[in-house]
Amino acid sequence: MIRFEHVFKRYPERGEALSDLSFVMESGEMAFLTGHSGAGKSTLLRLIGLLERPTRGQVLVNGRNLATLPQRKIPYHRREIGMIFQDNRLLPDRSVFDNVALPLVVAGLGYKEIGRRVRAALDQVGLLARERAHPVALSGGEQQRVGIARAVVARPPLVLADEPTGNLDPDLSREIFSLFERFNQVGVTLLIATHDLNLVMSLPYRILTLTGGRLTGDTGGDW
Amino acid sequence: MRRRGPKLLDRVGHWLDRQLQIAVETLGRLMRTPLPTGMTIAVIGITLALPIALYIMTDNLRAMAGGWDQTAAISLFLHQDIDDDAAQHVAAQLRERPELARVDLISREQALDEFRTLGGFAEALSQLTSNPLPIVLAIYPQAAHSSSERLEALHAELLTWPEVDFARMDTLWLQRFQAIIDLAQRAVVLLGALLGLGVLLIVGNTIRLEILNRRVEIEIMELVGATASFIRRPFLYAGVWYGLLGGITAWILVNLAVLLLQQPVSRLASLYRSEFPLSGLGPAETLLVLGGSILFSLIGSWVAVNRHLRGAEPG
Repeated sequence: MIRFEHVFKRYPERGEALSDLSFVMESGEMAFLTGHSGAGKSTLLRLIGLLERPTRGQVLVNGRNLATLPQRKIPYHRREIGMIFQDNRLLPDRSVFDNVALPLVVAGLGYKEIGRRVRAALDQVGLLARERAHPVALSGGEQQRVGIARAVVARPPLVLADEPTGNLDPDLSREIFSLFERFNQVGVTLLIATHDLNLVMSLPYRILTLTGGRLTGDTGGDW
Repeated sequence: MRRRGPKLLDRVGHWLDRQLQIAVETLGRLMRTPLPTGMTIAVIGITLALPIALYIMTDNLRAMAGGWDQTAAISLFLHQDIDDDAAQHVAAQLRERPELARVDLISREQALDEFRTLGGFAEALSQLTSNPLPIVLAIYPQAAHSSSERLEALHAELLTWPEVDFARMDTLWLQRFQAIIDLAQRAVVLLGALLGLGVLLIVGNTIRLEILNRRVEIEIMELVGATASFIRRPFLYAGVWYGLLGGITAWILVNLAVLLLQQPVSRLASLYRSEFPLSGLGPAETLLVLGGSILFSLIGSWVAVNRHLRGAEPG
């Protein structure tokens, strides 16, 4: 599903964020990406979603070489990836329903289909009753679940999460992670960046560790 | 493959549905902020109303001047000692000339009558023992021969005739007047183009601010896979709405002005013993105003969108 081949990313101001990064993630896999802040976790995820391009090396997603992907195809590439952010990136002036519906509206689905799928996604994250609410009226954990519903509503084969539990207490974090496990059970590939090592260690999933932009640990699934 | 026809139709129908939906959504968004939207529309309306009003003014002046074409081009005043027969002879000579359309003979009695009824000179004229007025020949040239050079030549020639005491060119001022109107109208068209450019800038700037205000929303839409055209479309529709509503505002302003001026103008006309219906914007002109307004603001929003929305570009 994801293949990094000797990937380097250098920022003019900050220097090298990733250096000589190579790894492969199979379809249907669930993995955690850990490391200190500034280790390059976000950069790695941004390269997969084509929010940025690598300075050197190749990134392949779903068999597609991102280096040769033309500009106008980028939106279609992003539709196959659900992205979840620490600050959840919700639109404060739109209802929960409208926020979750955004990927489907963008993809040009019909009203009925949108309604059906949005409610299914909200049901999965346990927020079906709050579809009319606005994000500000929700708690932090609920907001993050809305963000997750938005990421999975279009049923993308790959979901990326950047510190999804960064602002949540351990109980809520556990809840979010069990949500991710359920998505993984139906075949979704997930890559989750987090520095919540305790939680990650307690779960039976592959862990990729970044240190200063280099891959310094990979449990490779043989935990 | 056989199902391609209906499928294509379906897709066109779906596409039209989407466009209509976006247009209505965009209008709804504009309506949610009535004050800034109304102000932008008012600015567009006033900007466009100015050149349109000036154009209508020159158009009406031209129509008014057109009504004066019935005036004789040259009036020939014959010597006092020329009698009616001799005058008829001169008129007959003139009528043989192909470049002249009509020659009217105004006898002394006719001239005196006209003076009595028109000029309010009845009192003074009744004091006269003899008629001091000369015989006048009113000369109307063919349209092809009514240029000022030809009239000047004719005028000069007629002055040399022994029967002629004095010849006056009546239409020269009219031609000058028409030339001035032509010039004014051209200036108005230029002004219109300039103010159209103003509309373009107003809409461009409004759309630019709107894009900056919705930066976060645009970013998120790009994250979830919105295409560049999906993001641009609402802004372009906003431009079309601004143009349409601004154009309608300009139309209302101009026709309101025409309506308000109708009465004073016809009063003025009646003082000159004539009638003059002031004309507003006809259907063709209305379409032109709305079309132009929409075009200018669409270009304005297009420029803003192209400058400030570059699509999903990786850093």
